Amino acid sequence: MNERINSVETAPSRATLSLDRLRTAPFLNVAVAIVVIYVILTAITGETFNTVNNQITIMRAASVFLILAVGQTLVMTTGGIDISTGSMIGVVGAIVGSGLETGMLDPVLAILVAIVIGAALGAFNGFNITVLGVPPLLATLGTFVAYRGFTQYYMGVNLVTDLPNIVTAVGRAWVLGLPLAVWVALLVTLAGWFVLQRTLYGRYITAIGSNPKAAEATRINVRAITASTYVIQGGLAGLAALVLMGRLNSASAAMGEGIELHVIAAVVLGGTYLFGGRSTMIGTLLGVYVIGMLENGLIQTGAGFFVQRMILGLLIIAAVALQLQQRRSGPV
Amino acid sequence: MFGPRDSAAHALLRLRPAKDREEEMQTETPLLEVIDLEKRFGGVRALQGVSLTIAEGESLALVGDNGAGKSTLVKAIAGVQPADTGQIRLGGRDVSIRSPKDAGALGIEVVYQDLALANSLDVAANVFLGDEPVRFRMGWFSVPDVRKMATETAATLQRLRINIPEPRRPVANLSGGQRQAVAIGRSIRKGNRELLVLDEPTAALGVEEVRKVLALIQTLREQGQTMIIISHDLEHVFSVSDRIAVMRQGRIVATRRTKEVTKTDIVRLIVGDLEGATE
Amino acid sequence: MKRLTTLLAAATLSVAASAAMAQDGPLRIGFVSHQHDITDLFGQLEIGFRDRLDAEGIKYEMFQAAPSASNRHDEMLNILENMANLNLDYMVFGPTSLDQNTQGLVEVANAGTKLLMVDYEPEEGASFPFEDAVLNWSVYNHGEMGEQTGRWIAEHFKAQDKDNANVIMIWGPVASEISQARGNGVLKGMEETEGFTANVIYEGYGNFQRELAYNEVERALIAYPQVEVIVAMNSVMALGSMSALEADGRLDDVVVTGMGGQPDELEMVARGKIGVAVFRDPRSMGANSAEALIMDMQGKTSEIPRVLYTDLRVLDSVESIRTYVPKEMLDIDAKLAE
Repeated sequence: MNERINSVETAPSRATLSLDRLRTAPFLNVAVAIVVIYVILTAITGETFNTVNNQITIMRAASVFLILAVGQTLVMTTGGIDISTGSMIGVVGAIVGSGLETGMLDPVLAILVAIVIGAALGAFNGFNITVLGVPPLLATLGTFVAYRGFTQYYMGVNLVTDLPNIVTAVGRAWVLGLPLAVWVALLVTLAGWFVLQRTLYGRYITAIGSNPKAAEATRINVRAITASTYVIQGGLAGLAALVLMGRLNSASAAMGEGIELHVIAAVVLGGTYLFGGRSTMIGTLLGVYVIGMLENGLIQTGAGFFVQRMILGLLIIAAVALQLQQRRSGPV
Repeated sequence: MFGPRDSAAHALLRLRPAKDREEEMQTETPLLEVIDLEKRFGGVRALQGVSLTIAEGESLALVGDNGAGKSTLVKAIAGVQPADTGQIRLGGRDVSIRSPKDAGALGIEVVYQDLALANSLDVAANVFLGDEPVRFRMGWFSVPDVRKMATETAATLQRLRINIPEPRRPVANLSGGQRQAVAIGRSIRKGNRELLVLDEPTAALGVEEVRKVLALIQTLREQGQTMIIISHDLEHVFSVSDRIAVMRQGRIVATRRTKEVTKTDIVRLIVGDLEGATE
Repeated sequence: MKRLTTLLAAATLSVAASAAMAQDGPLRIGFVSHQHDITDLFGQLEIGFRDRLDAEGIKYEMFQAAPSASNRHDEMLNILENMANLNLDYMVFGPTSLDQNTQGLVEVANAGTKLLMVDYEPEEGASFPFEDAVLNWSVYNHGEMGEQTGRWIAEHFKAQDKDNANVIMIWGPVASEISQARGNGVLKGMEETEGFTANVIYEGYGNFQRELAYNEVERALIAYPQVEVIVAMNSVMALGSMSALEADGRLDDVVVTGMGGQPDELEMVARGKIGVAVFRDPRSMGANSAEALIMDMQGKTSEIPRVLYTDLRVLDSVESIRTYVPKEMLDIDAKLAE
């Protein structure tokens, strides 16, 4: 089928290679979807949708989802899933929020503390999954319930409001023409992309998700690496909790409830395989944006609330179906 | 020469014809000696005092029915499921193989039947998986030296006379033979691979693919690679082995020089018709 | 030529004159609520709102949004930020939590949108950073609603010569101000009735959802069989609690109380399966909001009352339902005829 003896010597040029890669990129469909949906929404909503301001609004709304989606992408690369993210946000919000309210927690330290608490919650997930062998869906379903229970127990009917300026700045301040929350989310995404695409860690989690036996047969410490994805997801949930607290200028026992399904939908939509081994951080970024754009734009069409919900749900199914279609018919 | 492991050695020799034994005496220390391995799974004795030797550069085929103990033996040698009792000596030294990592460190590599490739990684990533050269060291977050990996992979594949047109594509896209080649390439990439164990290297391949894989094994033989090859297909076994060991019910019932035996003999040994086989 | 100029001038004048009162194009109105159920408060409120605007002949475009659950304050913030980009003239708003929606409301207010607040009442003397944009609050008193329920419960048992009752409280979301105001009102109403003591034996959280209330009650019935009254903090939780009692065969000896007066709930009151539902007329609340909007357009902004309370009615019989529930809201007569 090919006459080349040594493929490296006659490797295709960089340009054709990258074009070829783009053609087969797992996020191709979602990228096309973005353009199509953007054009349609612009056409039917008049002047309000297609403005810089509105696009920034979409990004700002998506920032919390994006931070979580980066962690979820790493987890799903290993073939796992974490549905406890919303509940982890609740716990971090309860502890950090109350600490800030009573003045026991220094506002500058709050960022570090939020991430550390989140990472610890994630580590518990990782332990249950890799050491006790509980399947990820059930392990995180357990903590989904337990962490929320803790939050409600800890917070009761309390509502933390009027957080320190440093915390609200994380959610509200603008830096270099964009909300700080958007910068934070983009930086996390960039770091996630680097880790996934350019480091051993990315290779190892891909190998684990692709074929755990293959990974185990090598020097890769499969358990530790798998567990670490949940730790990272937890740490990012801590960061997301802080951004969310800053945005709402408050924390309550309900914080983060229901957020996880939104995040998982965005990640799968972006082209990450639900069963592990294939993932794309760029796709995740685009997937989060597509859902944000739809939620934002559908309201602006003036469609009734129920119609919006129907369209949103069906479009998500259609987009995921397209993803799977590409995977089946495509070269990979 | 046998010293303290006399009994084991005798157990080994008992089943072998005198001619073999004489030759054995003349050669130097064998590369691998497996002495009196026992392995139980509950009440089942999967290995019942198995002993085996392989000389340097030799290609030994391991044949036998399903459940004869071939996989268990390989898993013991590879450290996946260490044996309960018995000894393994490599290059004349006693070694302890309690995990795949121990085996790897000693230069024992197994290419499993299911290939154990990470389908969504490319050829070089698979060849180097878990053992990547790095450009920038930072633990798990080290940056691998992709260029070096590509060059070395190409060199390895060339040494094996394998052609993979698009090494940057995920290995899921490769044919069965190419995947087998990648798996073997991974195992022999490092110069210090003492022993290569191939578990059913030709299973589930098309005719043309089988031919390529056999040619690959032949290349390895010419390069002096010591190998254990497990196979069901006697045709293949006869084309690439120097010696054939037959397992049955957890024991090695016979070892024969490939040149000096017929397929019919081997089949008889496999099914337990020992009388017929001993000419 | 001269005539043409005059004609043009006249036309321009008349257009300018009518613009003082009427609109250039349709009004842009947002309708954002913490839930959107056609049978419940906001669906009915929207109908009342639209009917009043239609009666006045006002042309408008409406942009609807609601979070996926009543406690999704984060989604509500996203929605409000979106609304701030829509160049809305007015926005009807039913908060998930006034405190947690403040940030978003400030953005909407800064975009020049006038706010028609519904459902939540501002605390006495409270002021908000978005205060200046608020035309009015069309509300009812949740605490009062609770108190009326509590008094009804106390009288109900006293009428049976009992001076106490075992109570299970089914609250809404844990941090919901509405749930707190209503529930505390119930406790207060029972407490303040002389010659009656309430023993709260269990409290569960049903998040204002039917299924969750059902599950809570189903479990509570096993643990606390001595229960005599179940207080649900909204309509659908009352319906869920009722179904659980029915499934357990306890409907005859345990009283369920609801709040709000959603049509299905009222039907069950009429059938005697739910003891009482204190009713606020959502359509008149919507009409009150529309009224404020109309007055603003007519330049009578300063005359709009800041808070408009909707009357509460204690409904515990077919008779009281007939008297106080607007006919068009529910065709309850047809159901009663069954």
